Amino acid sequence: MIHLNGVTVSTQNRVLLSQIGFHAPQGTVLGVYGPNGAGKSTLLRAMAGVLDLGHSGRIEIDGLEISPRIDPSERCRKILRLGSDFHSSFGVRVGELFELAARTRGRSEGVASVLERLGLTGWVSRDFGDLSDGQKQWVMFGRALIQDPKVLVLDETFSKLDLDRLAAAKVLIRERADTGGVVVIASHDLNRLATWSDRLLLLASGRTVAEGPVGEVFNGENLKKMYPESDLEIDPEGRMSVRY
Amino acid sequence: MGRVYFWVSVAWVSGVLLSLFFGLDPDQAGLILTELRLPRLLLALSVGGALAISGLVLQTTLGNPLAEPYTLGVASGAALGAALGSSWDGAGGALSLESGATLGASVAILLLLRGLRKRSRSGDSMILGGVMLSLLLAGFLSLWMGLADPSGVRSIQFWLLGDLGRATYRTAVPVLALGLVGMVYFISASAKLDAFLFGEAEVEGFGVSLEKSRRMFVLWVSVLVGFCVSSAGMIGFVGLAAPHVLRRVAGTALHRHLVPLCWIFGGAVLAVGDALARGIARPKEIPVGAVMVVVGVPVFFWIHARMRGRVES
Repeated sequence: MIHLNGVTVSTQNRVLLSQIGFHAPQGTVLGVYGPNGAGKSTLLRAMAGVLDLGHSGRIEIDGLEISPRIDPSERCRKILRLGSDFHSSFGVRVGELFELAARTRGRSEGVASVLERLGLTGWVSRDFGDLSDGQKQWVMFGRALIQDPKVLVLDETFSKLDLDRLAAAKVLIRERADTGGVVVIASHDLNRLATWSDRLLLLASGRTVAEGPVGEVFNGENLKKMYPESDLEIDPEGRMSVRY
Repeated sequence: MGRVYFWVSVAWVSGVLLSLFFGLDPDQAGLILTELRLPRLLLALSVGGALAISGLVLQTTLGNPLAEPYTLGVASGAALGAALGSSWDGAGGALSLESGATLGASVAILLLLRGLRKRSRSGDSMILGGVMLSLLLAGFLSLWMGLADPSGVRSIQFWLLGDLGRATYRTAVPVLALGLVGMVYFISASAKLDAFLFGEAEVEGFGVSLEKSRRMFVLWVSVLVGFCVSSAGMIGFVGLAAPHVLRRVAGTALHRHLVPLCWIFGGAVLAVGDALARGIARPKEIPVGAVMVVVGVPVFFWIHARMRGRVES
């Protein structure tokens, strides 16, 4: 489903991503982890075709080679990226957002069941701008499920969700993968990523530190490569802690 | 939604009747109505409608609720372009009043977009930049008119304060026709406009090309504002207030409703404003732009206070 080969992104002064390559087949939940400035968001934006800088190398999603030149209506059926901060100043209703999502997808079947699963049925007349940050993230997740892209990219999208919604999100993400989709999640919560994901991509300074199944990649050696100065510990159950 | 259309249409009819018959001298009613008031009304409805749609489109595509042709300096750009264009037109040059105004409006928007970083567009920085640009361009306009036009002061007043007193069928009909075509275009593009409701970052996620769409919208707004300013001078705040009032009254942010409602309501607001401008200090006539500023500035601060309240909460 996702094929990346030799993806490099640079500005005039700096290389932001260098020779990133990996493959994520159908049914995968891929976690992307790295320190601040590792290039996670740059990579995810390049994958979604919304990076102004452009890239060299090849990004292929479900048979479509991605670039900013591809028609967005075609691109967003293949891959949709959500960030973490959402806003609207125009009194737009939550229901209007879902209407937009259904229109983008081209059909409105299934909207009601998504809203029911997410507990959003009674929210349609609420002003999106009046929601809390966590509620906005949850509503945008609902919008993404309505749009139903082949690959869903969540770039810190759950950073402000409460525990109940995090638990619900984990189930829904696993369901998407089990029904043939791919979900890519970037987060600073490594324990969550390790629990939710099938595979991990670890980045540092724009380069791949490791990529593969969680059991092979999530270990002290790789973490040391990302944080050479930190005092890291991983307990026998795989939980990571840092001594400050 | 039918009820909203009904009440906005009632406002429109009221504006039409007020504009036509307020303070009408019965002895010369026929002549005044056909030769003076009707073309003036047509221009008010056309300019008000086009400015309201322009404000709506600028607010949505720039993600800034305070954006409108007047606050962003687009109207000043159009006025300067029109003044320069009309001078060159008189000298047999290629530029006409309308194309000069359209070019001036386009240059002003491009200057503003180039001059501001992406993150500054949604906040106060854009409005501050727009006001500065507006002052700068108005300064150039005053200088140009003062130097080039023997009756400069009167002309400067027309451009800076806006005035429907020069309306003729010849000036009103093109703005009306263009405004109607613009409205139809923006209704047809309403799904693309809706994609801008959650900021630039989300536009392509709704399957809409950010740059291509914004380029078309800015071009259309430039043409609409160019024609409005070249026929009526700079009239502010219709483009600011009408979209906000209608979002509240209609309870929707979707453009398939807001575009036609803005056209109807913006025209009504300007028709009423013009009737007031003619009637407040009879027999003297106040430029309609002055009335709109007096009404519009409190609306600006109200919207600004609401924006702040949201950011702080």
